[in-house]
Amino acid sequence: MKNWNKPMATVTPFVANEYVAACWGVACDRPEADPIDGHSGWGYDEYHRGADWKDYFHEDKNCGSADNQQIQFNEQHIAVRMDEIRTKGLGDLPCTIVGKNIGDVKPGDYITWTTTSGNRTWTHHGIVTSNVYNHS
Amino acid sequence: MAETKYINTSDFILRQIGGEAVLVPIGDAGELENSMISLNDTFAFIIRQFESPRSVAEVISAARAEYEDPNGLLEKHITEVTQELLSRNIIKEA
Repeated sequence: MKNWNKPMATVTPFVANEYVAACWGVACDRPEADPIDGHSGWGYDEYHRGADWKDYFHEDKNCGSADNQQIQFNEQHIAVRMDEIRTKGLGDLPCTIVGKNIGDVKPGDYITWTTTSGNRTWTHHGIVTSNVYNHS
Repeated sequence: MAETKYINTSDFILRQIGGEAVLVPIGDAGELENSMISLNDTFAFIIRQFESPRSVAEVISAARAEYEDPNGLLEKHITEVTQELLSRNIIKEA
């Protein structure tokens, strides 16, 4: 027979998954040539095709969707990292917020960020919105 | 209280996870929402007793059939735990 011990219960609160806790997101809204990139943005552009032609497209289905900027938050729900996912065969691309600490970004901000793959760097711009489903 | 029967509410479920008894809130759990409650053997025993209507006296009797009570605290513990479970809506009057 077992010995009776004092009944004990330990309460463990669930900690929100850092992705699930995402409270803001951003989509790239550049519809035209980015002055730094020097090439057309949205969609296919015949005129820049050539030996040195580089694909600097900003597309709806890539950076143009807030779901594709995946934001990582710490336990204090402060953003610590953003990556562009679902790229066109380039894998996940780390995003660098320009002129601002990612932890200071909040809904309503108009931010600029860059992504780089090989010798190409895209410059994106967009308005930060709240309650975006960009979590894993 | 000795005659009143109690039963588990539907707001919590008891599960074995990794060999440990765990009470998981699934309904209106108040301040215990978004938490997991790990139970030792004797606490889990009490919860299982209330899976069907039981009075405190019946739970004590069932516990005595299964446990030695060298310190003489079994009845006190079960009475106190039952009050706690009632206050947290984990059990209710049947």
